[in-house]
Amino acid sequence: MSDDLLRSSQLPGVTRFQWQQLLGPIVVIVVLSYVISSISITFTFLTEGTLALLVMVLGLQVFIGNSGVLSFGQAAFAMVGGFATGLLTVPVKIKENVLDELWEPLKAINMGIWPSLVIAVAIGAFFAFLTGLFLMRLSGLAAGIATFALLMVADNVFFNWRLIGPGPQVMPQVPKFGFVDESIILAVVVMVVVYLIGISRRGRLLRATREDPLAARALGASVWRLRVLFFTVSGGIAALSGAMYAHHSGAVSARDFYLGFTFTTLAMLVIGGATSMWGAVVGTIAVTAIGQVLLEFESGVTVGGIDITLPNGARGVVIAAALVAILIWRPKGITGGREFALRLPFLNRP
Amino acid sequence: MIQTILDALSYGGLYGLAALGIGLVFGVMRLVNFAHGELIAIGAYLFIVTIDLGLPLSILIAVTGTAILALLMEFSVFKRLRLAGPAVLLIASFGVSVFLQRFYEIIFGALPLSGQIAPWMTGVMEFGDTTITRGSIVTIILALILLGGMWFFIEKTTLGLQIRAASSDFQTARLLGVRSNRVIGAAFVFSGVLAAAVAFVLVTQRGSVDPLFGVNITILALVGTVIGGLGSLQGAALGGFAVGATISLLNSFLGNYRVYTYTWLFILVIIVLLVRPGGLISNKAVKERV
Amino acid sequence: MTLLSVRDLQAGYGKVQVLFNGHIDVEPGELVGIVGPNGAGKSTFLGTLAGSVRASSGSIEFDGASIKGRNPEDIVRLGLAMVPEGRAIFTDLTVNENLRLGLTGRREKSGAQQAVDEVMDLFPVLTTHKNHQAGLLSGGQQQQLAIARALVSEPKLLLLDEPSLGLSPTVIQDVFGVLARIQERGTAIIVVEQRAHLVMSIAVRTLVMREGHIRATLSQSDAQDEAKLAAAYFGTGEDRE
Repeated sequence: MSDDLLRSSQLPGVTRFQWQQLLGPIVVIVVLSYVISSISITFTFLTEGTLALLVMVLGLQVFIGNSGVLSFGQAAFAMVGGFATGLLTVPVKIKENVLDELWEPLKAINMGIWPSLVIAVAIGAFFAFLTGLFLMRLSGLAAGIATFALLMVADNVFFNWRLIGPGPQVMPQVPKFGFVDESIILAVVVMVVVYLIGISRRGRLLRATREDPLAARALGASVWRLRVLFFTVSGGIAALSGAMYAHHSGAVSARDFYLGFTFTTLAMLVIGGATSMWGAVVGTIAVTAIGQVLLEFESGVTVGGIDITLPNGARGVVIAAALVAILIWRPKGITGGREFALRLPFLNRP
Repeated sequence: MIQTILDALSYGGLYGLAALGIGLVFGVMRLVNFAHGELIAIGAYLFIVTIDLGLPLSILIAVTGTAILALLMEFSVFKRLRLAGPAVLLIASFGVSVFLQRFYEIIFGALPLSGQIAPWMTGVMEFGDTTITRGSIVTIILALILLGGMWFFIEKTTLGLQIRAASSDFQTARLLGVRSNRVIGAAFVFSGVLAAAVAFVLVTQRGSVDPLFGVNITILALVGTVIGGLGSLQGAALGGFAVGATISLLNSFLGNYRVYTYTWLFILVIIVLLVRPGGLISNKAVKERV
Repeated sequence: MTLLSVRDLQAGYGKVQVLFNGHIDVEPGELVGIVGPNGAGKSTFLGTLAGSVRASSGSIEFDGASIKGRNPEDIVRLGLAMVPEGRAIFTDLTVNENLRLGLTGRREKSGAQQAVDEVMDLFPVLTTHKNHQAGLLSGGQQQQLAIARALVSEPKLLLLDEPSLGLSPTVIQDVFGVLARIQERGTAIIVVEQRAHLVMSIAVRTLVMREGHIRATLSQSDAQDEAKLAAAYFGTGEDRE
């Protein structure tokens, strides 16, 4: 059974820490973020949102890329994170007026963004751990469907349960980040975490089971433990992404983290390359860039005297087509599943 | 009371048809086709757009168009992923699904298109004291005919035998001479026909179609397929029937609490996958095709 | 004309090569054996012939045509049928339905009923259980069904992958007795077995494989020579890489 999507061109053994593999992507993201966000307020907004997406894609990568198990449900943890941070940071008065069915203690609590982020991540990781205990017994198709079911449950609950949130409505007045720097810092932290986990001994062990399903079965319980661990970490990162998104848009609603979000982030991961941190970065940048270009075309662009106006929805069509094309012709993604590597003579050791 | 039962039966039949469509393709390809919903949608669009030509012609166009789209999906995407693992297939079908949704948005617009397909479906009939909707009766009859027809085809014809063999053990079936393309193509065509039938019932009920028309029922039909047993055609139909009937009964009796129906259904899915990956009815574990 | 001629066949799974320099010649009506320990590459070798495994290089000439790289469903229609390891019958289908599936690979559609009648003659037990679910048959009966199923396509060459697997000695005797009768009717056979003695006494030639390589080709008379057999099977010092 070949799953080229999850087979890196890099052998799982080649995993000693290399500075350029970690710093390269960080430099790219930091530089790009500052450059793009300095263009205009619109672009600052775009950068901040994209960084939140990047964190989500990194969260997907650390689990899917290392374990080889597809999870369709990580958006559920983003939901948890977004809701958690929203509940913790929205001013008490707003909660009392708008979210009147909320559980009383939730109404009264209030704190700053940063402590809230920490708690949101912890809660997300906790739920990932709990669900992971069960779901990580599954592989392949069963895991994909089960995690999809998880997303459905989460959506159903968050969309309806007014005890813990606004139900079908929007949770308003979530305090926003002051500067794009905050998102950049968070993204960089996650990149470091994901990279280090990837090259860690446990990461290598898990990847070995990805490469060889028979070995995975032979290892039995230890694989399950590893998968639960990575699933938990991934859930925590997803929660952070949800929280970042909340503080970026100033509002939270259940449908923010549903099928569209799942599709976009999964597409970013696959297009970039599922088995490396650099793949997650490249995919996020690529899909965002394509999306922006197409967005311009959707509003109408004049190229060499010719007016081109793409219909609305062209963006989704192109990205979906790109995803399917990558799966057919280059399942390892743009990066081939490899980490960052700059081919400069003085950087590479002989 | 009778209406409640009829509703349950008709919803059951409808979801059974949808689940069978998914189950057919899954059987021969181990592919969970998320894009099945978009097959239903194109059927509905074709109905709405061609209804002015008269119902018989409209039906012909809708069924043919849906079957053609199904074959297109197979030839352009899934055929090239024959040897791919479940993760790739799942993401690919998700990608095709989103692609088609946005495509419909481009061609038909994001707003719903309205049309009256078969007004006689929406009427009621009276028998003494009781009134029953025509729609539910027609749906039940349609479901019986199609499910019966599919049963006959699968159990009694050579191609049906080949599909059953391919669903059970694709590699060995090929060793015996079963043509993989023919079997898979047939599965897609039939899944398209079933999708068109589902589209007919739904679009008659709703009176309109939009790009996300088929998403909901596909997700629920998927639940039915899993519960009934991945890889078993009877299981898929029965599972779909069970889900549809249950939802209908819950709607009728619980009223308010039905908002959490999805939660219970999907928790059930997870439990079934954990305890019996083959589903409740099927006995064998789902064999991954190498 | 040689029915089957294979040269320099290389095959594997993904990056792992499992078969090295595979070669074999089979004349019409011959029974050739392939033996060797577990993991020797025997099944892979058969798989490349039948089309279920892709050979990366080499040549396979069957009945005058090259069949390397062709689909299994095309190869069976050229007259090469395989009975896979573990019998691989469709347990949910009836005996009759299993046989009908075997008819799919026939070169000529006419004569199908006659072919079915002939295998029913060869395997009377199948007539008794004609409409029973194949999964209810015993191991030996399933093996017979698997062979019958391959035979109804009237192949010129029949491949058998470890037919003795999981069967008791008496049943094995029955099965191999049938093989002799099949051969009498002119069908060539390649039998892969881990238990060399089963094959070597009836095969005109036996290839001994180890670790993906064909180490020796033993004639029927060689089969009596225990030393030669052991040397080929387990390897002496010289041919180790």
